[in-house]
Amino acid sequence: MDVSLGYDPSEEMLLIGGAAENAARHPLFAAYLRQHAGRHDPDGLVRVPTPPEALTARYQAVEKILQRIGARLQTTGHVSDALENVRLEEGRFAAFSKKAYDIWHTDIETEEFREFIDAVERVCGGRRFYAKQLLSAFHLAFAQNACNFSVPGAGKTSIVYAAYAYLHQLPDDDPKHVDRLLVVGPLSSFKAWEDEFEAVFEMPPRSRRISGRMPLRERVDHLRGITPGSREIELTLTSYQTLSNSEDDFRIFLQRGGKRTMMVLDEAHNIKGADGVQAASALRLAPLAASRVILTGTPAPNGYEDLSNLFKFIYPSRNLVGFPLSTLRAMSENSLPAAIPELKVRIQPFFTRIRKADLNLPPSSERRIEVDLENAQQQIYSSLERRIVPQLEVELQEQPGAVRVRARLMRLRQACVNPELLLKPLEAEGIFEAEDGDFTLSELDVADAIRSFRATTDLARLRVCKDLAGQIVHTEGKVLIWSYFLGNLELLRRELTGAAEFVEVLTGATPVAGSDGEEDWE
Amino acid sequence: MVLSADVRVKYLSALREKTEANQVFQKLHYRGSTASHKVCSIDLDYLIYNRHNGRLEAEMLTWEQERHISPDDYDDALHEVIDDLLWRSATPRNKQTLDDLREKGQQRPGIVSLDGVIIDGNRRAMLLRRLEKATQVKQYFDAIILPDAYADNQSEIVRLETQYQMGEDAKVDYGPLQKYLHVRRLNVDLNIPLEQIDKLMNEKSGNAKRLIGTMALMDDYLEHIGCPKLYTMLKDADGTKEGMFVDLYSDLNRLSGGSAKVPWAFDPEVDTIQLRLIQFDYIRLGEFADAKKVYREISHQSLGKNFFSNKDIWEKFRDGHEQSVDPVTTTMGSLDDFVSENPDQFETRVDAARARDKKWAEAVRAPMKQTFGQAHYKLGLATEKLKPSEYLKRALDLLQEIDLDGSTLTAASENLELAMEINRLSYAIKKKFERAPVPA
Repeated sequence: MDVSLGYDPSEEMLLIGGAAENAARHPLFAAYLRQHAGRHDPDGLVRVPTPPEALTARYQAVEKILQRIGARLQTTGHVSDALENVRLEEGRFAAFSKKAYDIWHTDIETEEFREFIDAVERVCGGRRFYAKQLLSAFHLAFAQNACNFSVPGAGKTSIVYAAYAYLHQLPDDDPKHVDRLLVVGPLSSFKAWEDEFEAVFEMPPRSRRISGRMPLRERVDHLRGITPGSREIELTLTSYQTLSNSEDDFRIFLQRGGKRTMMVLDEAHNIKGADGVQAASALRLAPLAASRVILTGTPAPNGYEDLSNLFKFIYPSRNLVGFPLSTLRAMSENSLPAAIPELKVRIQPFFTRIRKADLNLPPSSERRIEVDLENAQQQIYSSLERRIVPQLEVELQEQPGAVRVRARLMRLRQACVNPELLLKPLEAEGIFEAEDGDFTLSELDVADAIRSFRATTDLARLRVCKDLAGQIVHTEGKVLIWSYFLGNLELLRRELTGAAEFVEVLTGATPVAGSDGEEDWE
Repeated sequence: MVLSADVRVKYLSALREKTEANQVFQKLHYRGSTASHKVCSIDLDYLIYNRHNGRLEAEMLTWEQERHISPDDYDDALHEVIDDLLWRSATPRNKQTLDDLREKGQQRPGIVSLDGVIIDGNRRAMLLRRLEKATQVKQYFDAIILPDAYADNQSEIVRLETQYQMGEDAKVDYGPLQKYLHVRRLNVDLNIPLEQIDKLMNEKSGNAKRLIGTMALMDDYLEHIGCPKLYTMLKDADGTKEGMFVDLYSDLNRLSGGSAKVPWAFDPEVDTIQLRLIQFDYIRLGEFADAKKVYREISHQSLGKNFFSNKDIWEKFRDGHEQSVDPVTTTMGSLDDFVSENPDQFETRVDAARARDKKWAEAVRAPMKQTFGQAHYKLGLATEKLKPSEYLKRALDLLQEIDLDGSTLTAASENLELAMEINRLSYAIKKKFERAPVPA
C-alpha cells in the first residue's frame, strides 16, 4: 500500500494521495484524520488542514502512522518545496543524531574532522585548542544546534568561537554558513566574550552591547539595522532581561537582511524556569536563529526538569527530551528511576561536556594552618561556649527553637573567627532574621571583654592571613579570600588596602549594573 | 394534528394577555430577573414537545440521524415519536403520575415558550394528552407562557431549561448521557461559555469542560465504530458506557497535559491515539466494565499499575491488539454496507448497528481477552516484587499444570523453544547455588 504526500502552501493543506482511501480505512489513520479535520475529496485525495508551522509535526506523525499500519510513504511525485524540506530534514536528522553521538562518544578521526581542525587553526590564530575543545567545537559545528555543559574553565567561549569561525568561513551559499553571533548572557559576561574574541581571532571584535543602559531609541535602531554600521556588527551581546524586553526588535534583528545568526545562550540555566518570561522570549526567538547554542556548566541544578527548556531551545520543533515536566520532576525525586536511562540516551547526541578531569589541571594542594585563640579571644569564646552549649538541647524543644539555636551557634562561630562581630546584630550580616532568638550584649558576662577586643591587635588569625597574603602578593601571585561574614570582609579590605595594588570586595550585595530592571549579582 | 407556529403564537399571545378571575401567579427567574408570571390553562393542541428534552435527547438525535431529518422540522410523526419516547422512558413512573393526574389534576405548572414548545413539563403534557384520549374529556396544561418564541430567543430559553433540568431545581434523574449532550448544545450550538454553563448547572468550575471533552470522545467513538451520531449506541445493558469514557477522558487529559508520570518517552500524539482506539474497542466489546472495572488496567490505574505506564507491556499489548483486532475493524465494512447485505432484517439502523457490533465482538472477543490476559499477567509480575522463593514456587505450580501426556504440548513447536528457555534459566539458577559461598 503506497501512500503519497504533498503540500499545497496556498491552501495550507497536506495532500495525501495514492492508496489514501485504503489507508484511511485503518482505524489508526482514520482517527488521526478525524483529529485533524482531514477530509476525503472527490479527486481521491485526503486533505488535512496544515499551517506551515505544523508541517513538520504532521509529517512526523503521518510517517509514523503509515509505518505502523504497513503502508509505504511514497517519496516520488510532486511535492512542494516546504514538504520536501521537511522530508529531507527528517531523513537527515536520524543520521545526524547518530553521527553527533559518534563525534563526541567515539574517537573519530575522519577527513572531515581534519578539515575542521585546519580551518579553525587557520582562522583562530590566537588560540591553541586542546583535543577535547576541538572535538566539542566540531560537534557544535557539525550539529549547528547543541548544548555544551562543560565545567567552568573548560573554555566554552573559545569552543563557540572555533565552531563559529568554521561555519562563518563556509561559502555564503552553504546552508550551514553563519554571518554573525548573538550572545545572550549576564552583563558580567560581555567583557569576557569581547576579550576572548580578540584573543582567538587576533583582532578586536565589531561588537555592540545591547543592554538596559543603552537608550531605547538607540537599541531599537541598532536591532532594526537603522544605525549606520549596525549591519556590520559581528558580535551582538545582550542580557536575558533585554532580550525579553525588546523581543520584537530582536525578532526583526534575527529575520532581517538575509543575515544568518548563531544565537548563544550563555549561563543558559537562566531559562530553566519552565514558565519564566525570559525563557519564553528566548524560546520564541529560537526558530529564527540559523544556529543555536546552549552554554552552562550546571544544566540541571534543580533536577531533570531544568533540561526541558535547554533542549527545546536548540531544537524548537522537536521533543528531544521526550518527557513532560511532571515526569522529569518525578525522575528528580527518584520516583521514576526506570525512565532515567531512556532520557540519557535521548539527549546524549546533542550535548558535549568537558569534565574537570579532562582539563589536566595541576593537582591542587591544601594546607591547613591551625591558629590558636589568644587570651582575650579564648576568654570570650569559652564564656559563650559555657553559656550556649549546655542549653542547646533544651532550646531545640522550645518555640522557635531552631531559629534560637541557629542564632546561638552563629554567635559562637563569630566568637571563634572575630569577636568584634558580636557587637553587631546578626541581621547586619544579612544571613537570617534571628527575631528574638539572639541575645543582647549586656546579658553576657564577657560584655566588657568583647567591647574592648580589637581585631587589628588581638586577632591572631588576622595576622596570619595578612602575612600569607603579603607573601603571595610579593611573588606577584593573586589571592582570593573567602569569608562567611561581611564584617570580616570589611576588616580584610581595611587591613589589606595598601598591601596590594588592587583590593576589591565582592559579595552578594554587589550590583554589577542597574537599569531596565537588569541587575546582575556576583 | 400539530398546528403551525403562527397559529400557536397567536393563541398563546392572546392567552397571555387575558387575565382570569382568581388568576394564579408563579415566580420565575428569566432573562436575569425574578418576576411573577401568570399561570395559564393551555389547550394541548397548541403545544409541541421539546425535542431537546433531557429524557430523550440521545434518542432524538439518533432518530434525526437515522432519517436524515433537519433539527428544525416538526410534524405529526415527530410529535407522536416524542410522545411515545416520553412514555417509554419511564413507563412505571408514568403510570403512577397518570393516576395522580386523573385523581388530583395537574399539581405543578409547567413552562412553555410563546410558540408552544414545552420547556418544563413535557412528561406531564404527554400524560394529560393520554388522559384526554382515554377519558374523551378535554384536558388543559397549566403553564407559564414565556414572552419569547423558542426559536427567537433560544439561548435564554435554554438557560432556563438548564436550570430546570440540571440546576438546583432538577426534578428528575435524566439519563447519564443527557448532561453531555446538553452541555455540547449550550456551548457548541448556542455559544454559551463553559464557565457560565457551570453556573447554570450549579456545578464546580471545570465541570462543563470535562463534560464537553468527554462528549467529544463519545462522538469520536461513534465515528470509530462507524455509527456517527447514533447516540443510542452509547447505551448498553447496564445503562451506558459512560464510566469507561470518563476514565479514558481523564487518562488522555493527564497524558496530553503532561501530568501523568509515565516512565518512557511516548509519542504524545500517535501513542495517545492508539491508546484511545484500543480503549474504544474495549468499550465496544463491553465485557471489561464489570464491577471490578478491570479495563482500568489499560491506562487508568495509578502508581504505574497499568499497561501504558510499562513500555514493554504496552507495546506487546498494542501490537497484539493491532494484529488481531484492527484487521477485523478495517474489513468490517460500513453500516450502510451491512444494512444492504442484510435487507429488511432490521427495523432501525440502530438495530442493524447493534447486530453489526455483535458480529464484530464475536470475531475479536477471544483475541482481545487473550491479549488483555497476557498484559495483565505481565503487569502483575512487573509491579509485584516477590522474594525469589515465591517466584520459584509459582513457576513450579504453573509448570505442574501442564498435561505431559497430552498431545497438545508437543503439537506446537514454540512450546519446545519455551521449554528450552526455562531449562536454560533453571540451569543458571542451579549454577548460582553451586558458586555461592557455603553458609557458615
